[in-house]
Amino acid sequence: MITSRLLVYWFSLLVSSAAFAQDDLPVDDDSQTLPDLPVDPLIEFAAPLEITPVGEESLAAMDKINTGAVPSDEKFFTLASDQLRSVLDDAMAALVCIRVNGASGSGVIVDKSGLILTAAHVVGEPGSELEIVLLDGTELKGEALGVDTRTDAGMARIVDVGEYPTVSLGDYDDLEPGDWAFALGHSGGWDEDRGSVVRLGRIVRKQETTVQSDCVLIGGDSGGPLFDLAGRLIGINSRVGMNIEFSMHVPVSEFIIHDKEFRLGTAMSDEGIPPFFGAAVESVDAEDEAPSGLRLTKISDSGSAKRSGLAVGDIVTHADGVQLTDKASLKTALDRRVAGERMQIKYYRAATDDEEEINEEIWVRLAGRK
Amino acid sequence: MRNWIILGGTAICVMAGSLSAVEILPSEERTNGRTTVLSMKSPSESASASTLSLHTERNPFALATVVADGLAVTKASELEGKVNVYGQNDRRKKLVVEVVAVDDANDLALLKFSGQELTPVVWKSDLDEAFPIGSVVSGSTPRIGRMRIGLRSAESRAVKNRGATMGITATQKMIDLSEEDVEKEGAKQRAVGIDVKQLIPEGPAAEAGLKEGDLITMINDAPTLTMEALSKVMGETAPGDELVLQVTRGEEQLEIKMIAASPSDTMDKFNRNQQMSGRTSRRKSGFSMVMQSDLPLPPEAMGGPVFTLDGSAVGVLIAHADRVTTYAIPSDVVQASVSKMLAEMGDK
Repeated sequence: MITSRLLVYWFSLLVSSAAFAQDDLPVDDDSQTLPDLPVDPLIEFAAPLEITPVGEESLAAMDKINTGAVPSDEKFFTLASDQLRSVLDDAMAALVCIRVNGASGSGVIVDKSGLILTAAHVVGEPGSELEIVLLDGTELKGEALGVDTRTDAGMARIVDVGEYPTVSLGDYDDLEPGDWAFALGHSGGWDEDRGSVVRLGRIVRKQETTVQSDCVLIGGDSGGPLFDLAGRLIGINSRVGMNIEFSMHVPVSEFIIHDKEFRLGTAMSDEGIPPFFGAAVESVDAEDEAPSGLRLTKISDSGSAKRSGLAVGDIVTHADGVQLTDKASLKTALDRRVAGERMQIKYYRAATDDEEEINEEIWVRLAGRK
Repeated sequence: MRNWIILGGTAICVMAGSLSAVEILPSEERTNGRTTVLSMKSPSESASASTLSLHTERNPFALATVVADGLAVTKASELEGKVNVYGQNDRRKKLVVEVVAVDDANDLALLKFSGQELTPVVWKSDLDEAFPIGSVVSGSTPRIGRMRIGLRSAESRAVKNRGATMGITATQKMIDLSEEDVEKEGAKQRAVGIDVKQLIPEGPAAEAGLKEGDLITMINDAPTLTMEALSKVMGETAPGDELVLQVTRGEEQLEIKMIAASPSDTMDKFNRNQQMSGRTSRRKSGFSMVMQSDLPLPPEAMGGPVFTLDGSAVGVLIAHADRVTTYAIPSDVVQASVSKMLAEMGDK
């Protein structure tokens, strides 16, 4: 949780009324003749985010606990604590620590393929390389997907293929102030001896894009999950006030609403961020083995080309299924995407003494123009 | 941080104006709100029967847990430097107290008290089986019987001593070796001392006259040329110990003496998580075993008992470490510590 950023988030909540920026992108006349954008396969690697209905038994227990009344004696807490402990192990198993650039936050796995919900300020920009630490200390490679800096919602995924423990999603509409909840996180970073840290609290206030609880949080808890007592995810830890009982979370509904954009790696903010290919190109005609297309003559350190491993001399032949003929054709293709999304690129690399010729299709995560 | 709260307040006003119904849980009904905590009836009764508060010059500074007739334990390090210490029960009747033994490995002190009758706590043992993580705990505020609610929140464990600090930031100074030496030592460079980069204002080093750019070569007669050697020395030093430094300043060789400080008084001032935690216990490390909770209790509540919902005691509060962390020494460790302290008293 970084103070200067907290200010920005909070302030942007005030002025934010814009819909997702991609809706407002100008439509180029030429685009009428372009084929449909190819679908990034990552969109299907995990099932769409959905609310999980609560079982009868949990529902009955929750009804007894979340009556809205002030507990009259400690018997209430026996009930609440029994219910909490019955779901705690499963909730903890899906908690992860996220390390990036020497800082550490938390996140929670919501699909067995390794899809993670976290806070935008934990993962930074789409495509950032992450280290994901499971509860038992297993360190895995991760990648930031979409972020929404208006709400501080962020998505990430575990790149290493595996089957991971998950939690189910709660129904934000059903949540009411006074409901009991618990928060998890790797407070101050992952700690082998201590494990993760659980905090008890109540929902204090519910708004469309932010939910307040009185679970106490600290640095390192950012991106960690807030659960209802049925063990369903209802929010993601985002920011705190100086008063220890003032904690803000991103409602789970934000992730469900923008699931597709997050999945595609979109950076959602008040301003749409145009993508930056990050290479100087020249048109080339087909010659011997080499196809026609755009040859990369220079590659910028911070652009999409560098990030995806393209090299000077490579000839990019297609972007999102469209044959590239000149700079304008590449620009037209880029204009249909925003930073954070992946673009389908086909490129050719001539054979060398050691390496065979490459002629393949890859998905390139688009960097933002800084 | 303060600015953010002000901004937050503004935001709430604006939002409230634009939404028809903004429902906020009243503060007295929150987890540790005035009304909610009244539900902790059994823990409150047990606290009133088995807790005394410790005072010096009319200021309460700790609680103590009654462990046997006329005997209580408290947080030992809170007694340091306190004079004319007396106790009070829940009705503010005065008690005479005397420290009779100290167990530094757990920061516990054994007190004899007289003047009022108090009931020993009833211990609950075998906590990992009988009282797993996620169980509700309750502890008293410095106003005995006014309770707070929390969870046993993480694995029990030892918390290693953080050692002591001089209040400096530093790097090790390396020099390039001659070709001959490279062959002899198998390395291209050699560490020649600790290069002082920054002095924490009012820290021990600043007070003792150490300066930026000084090169520390020895501490307490042991060569200290690398950061590794430095952290070893400081890890073995306790706050309050004297350090004698050999220092190179330009052409001069100096001997500088200082009293090592607690990391709580130096490093923590620059730690973000500590900055957002308000007041925390001065000694928050160096315990053989702790049970962790999220009880929001101030440093003055340490030494008091931690209760289960039925009013039995699972430990003695030992440190409010940060805004989400309050440690207690678990019941079995407290009981063993008390037996050990009693045996030592018997030997004397």
